[in-house]
Amino acid sequence: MSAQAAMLGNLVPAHIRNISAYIPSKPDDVLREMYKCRQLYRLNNNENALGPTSQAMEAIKKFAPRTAAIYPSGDAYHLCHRLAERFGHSPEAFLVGNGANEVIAFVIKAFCQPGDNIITAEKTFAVYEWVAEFSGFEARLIPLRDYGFDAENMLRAIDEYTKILFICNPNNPTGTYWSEEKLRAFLDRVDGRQIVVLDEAYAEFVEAPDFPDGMKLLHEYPNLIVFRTFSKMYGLAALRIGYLAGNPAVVDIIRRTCVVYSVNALAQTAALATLEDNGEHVAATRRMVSAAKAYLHAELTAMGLFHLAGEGNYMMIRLPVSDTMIYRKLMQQGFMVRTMTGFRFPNHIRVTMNTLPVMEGFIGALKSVLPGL
Amino acid sequence: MSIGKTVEMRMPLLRDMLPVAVGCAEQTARAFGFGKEEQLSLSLAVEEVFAFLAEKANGDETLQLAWRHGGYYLETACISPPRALPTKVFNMTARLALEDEDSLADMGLLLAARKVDHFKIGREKDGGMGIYLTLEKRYPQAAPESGTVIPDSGFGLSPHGREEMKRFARLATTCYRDAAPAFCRFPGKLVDMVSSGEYDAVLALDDKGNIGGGFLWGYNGKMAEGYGPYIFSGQDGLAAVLVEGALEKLARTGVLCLIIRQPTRQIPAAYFEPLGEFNSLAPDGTPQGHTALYRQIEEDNGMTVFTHPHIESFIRERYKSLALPRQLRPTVYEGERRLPDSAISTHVDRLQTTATLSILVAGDDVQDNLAKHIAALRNEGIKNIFFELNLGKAEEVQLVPAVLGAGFKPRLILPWAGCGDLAVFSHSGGE
Ligand SMILES: Cc1ncc(COP(=O)(O)O)c(C=O)c1O
Repeated sequence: MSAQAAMLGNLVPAHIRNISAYIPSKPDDVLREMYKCRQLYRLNNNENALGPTSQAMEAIKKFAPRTAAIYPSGDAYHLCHRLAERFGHSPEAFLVGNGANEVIAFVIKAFCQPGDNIITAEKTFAVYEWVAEFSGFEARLIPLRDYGFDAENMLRAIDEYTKILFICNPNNPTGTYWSEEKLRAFLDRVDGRQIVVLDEAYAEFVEAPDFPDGMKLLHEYPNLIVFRTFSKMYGLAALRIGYLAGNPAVVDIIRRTCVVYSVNALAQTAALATLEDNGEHVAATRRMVSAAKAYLHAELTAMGLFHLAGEGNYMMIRLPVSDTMIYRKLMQQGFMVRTMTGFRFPNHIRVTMNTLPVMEGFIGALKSVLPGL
Repeated sequence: MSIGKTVEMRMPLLRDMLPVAVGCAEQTARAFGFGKEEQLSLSLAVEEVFAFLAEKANGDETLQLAWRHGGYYLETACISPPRALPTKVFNMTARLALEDEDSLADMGLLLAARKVDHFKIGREKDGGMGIYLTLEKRYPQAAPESGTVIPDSGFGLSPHGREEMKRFARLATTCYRDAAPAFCRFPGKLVDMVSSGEYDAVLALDDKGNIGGGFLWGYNGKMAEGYGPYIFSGQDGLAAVLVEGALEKLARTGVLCLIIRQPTRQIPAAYFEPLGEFNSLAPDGTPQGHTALYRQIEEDNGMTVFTHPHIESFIRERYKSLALPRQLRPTVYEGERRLPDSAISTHVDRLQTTATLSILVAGDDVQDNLAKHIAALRNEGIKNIFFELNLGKAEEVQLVPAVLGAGFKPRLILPWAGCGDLAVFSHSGGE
């Protein structure tokens, strides 16, 4: 670093100086070479092994390359209108972002100022906590109770500086969820005093009848914001597109902090086409997920490994050894899982559900790297 | 670095300025609450460093002095701008010219190192050179905790206050004697270490305030160094609870790994990987052999490291047994031009009578230079001498024959401990 660059260090605020950048995994070709494996199955990001919907694939194929020169719709105009029809809200109730990750940042920016805090679970998706912290706001992390979000202790942690409560429903990585009854009771206790974000990134995978539909509850709770993404069920993770929905007056506030043109035209086109799916894609994906879960459940039970198979297209497994070590050993065999130490579940891994042959390969690899099982 | 706890000054590197530097050192130590004895040690150490550097400087250089109060220690940094002084000056064993009258100054930096608890030479990010003198505060030693009966159940992780921390320190020293870290003998020190933010702890408490056990760690760049777990209760599975608590606290902090050089016998093996044997001598001279344990916190996505044919089989074996994805790039020195003078960074930990050497500047004379450092350190009564080789730097790895020639043997690899992996060598005279 030059002397000048070192001096610039004085410009860095304390809350940035003390954190590290997120390290994304390397591209497949690099990883294959590092780990000397021929193929690589990514079972780490909860993507959909069946890919996008056929409608979206068709739309991507038809995308005219020349239109790459033209700016996209800055507010995803058509997509918001289509979402409005689908969910029975006005187009102003929607705000589309470069993945749900981006809308997390919009919400925090819109409501928090120095001294404020957000509340979420200690063991959940990391981005709520990260964005709060790198923006200089406190993240109050409430331990899970029986692997699920602890409503009572979240409510107890609220003070006059609390602006947002984040609930991941179903929770990544435990697969637990709040029923409609539980969610309503929580929202009633919050009583409109704070923003409640319901992250439904995996809602389309859930089949449980008592699972709440956040989109419907929006009519009753103006302080509720729902996140959805096209990355998981709809297989568009590479295009980066997700959105939030809420009361138009609240969304208008959030819109003031958002980056226009952050959602590219191809993503908007593919997302629009996705909404034409007649349910076939969702049904096929759910079949794949439940077959994979049933298979893994039987195998893991036989191996004596504790596992949590709740909702969502993932499963968390407890290992008798270090998860970060098993990660490396599974990588050598071409299976990439997510280590759970980073989710504060040491010695656990999270595995994305995939087709049966891939799951069989995974179990074979797991057996070979866990001696004595 | 917390603002308000540092004192900084810049001054011409001239002998005439020496009283200013020394006076400021003494006043700073006093103002930060250090006792007479510490004030004196520090001013003597600063005097040695300043006199030595002023003698070597050409008259128009500036030295930056900074004192940082770390709670349980006071660190003095003496930083010279890039290329202000010839790098060989920064060898701990560098001497002044013989015609110099002052025989004390002839001892160079060694004398300064003798006055403080930790001494380190390093390169700054901007290419400047830094000499770091750390003086620890003196704390009263605790009486052993006797007669406490610790129940066999009812313990769980709990937030703790200073009093629990102190009681933990006393219990660790009482139950583990020399196997507990020396700092536990000074409960007040442990409290200050943890409140400095450089150390952290998890304790298991019951609802009566009894302490069932604890685990400690210190932050060292991207690595955390663990101590324990220390278990005082017969409750089943307490060690695993503590280790899990520590790992959960380390998650999402940016720390890449946790190493434990001297795990206690209660360590739950399932959370760790063995790194290799680590032999050393305790301050009283008793040999200690330990299997150092390793816990990666983040997923390892691989890197390229350099190897030298003389240590390649060791490196391959270590990486294979750790299943670490590394691309090995062999490198040897083939006569290409390099600097004639090397400089060696020395970190002396007087309390543990341990010194760790590493390469500051790769130069032709490195083997001689290492030999000089080893002789000087042995002369100072330092019992354990380690050498750390950065496997991410080809010019360092090319020096392997000199390192082996100086009597070092490769012992283990610390993944991600430097700007990449570090190979740790120990000096054979020290075991
Ligand atoms: C719970 C949860 N929310 C949000 C996201 C972010 O999704 P996107 O790809 O839309 O940014 C993820 C992705 O892993 C997630 O697991």
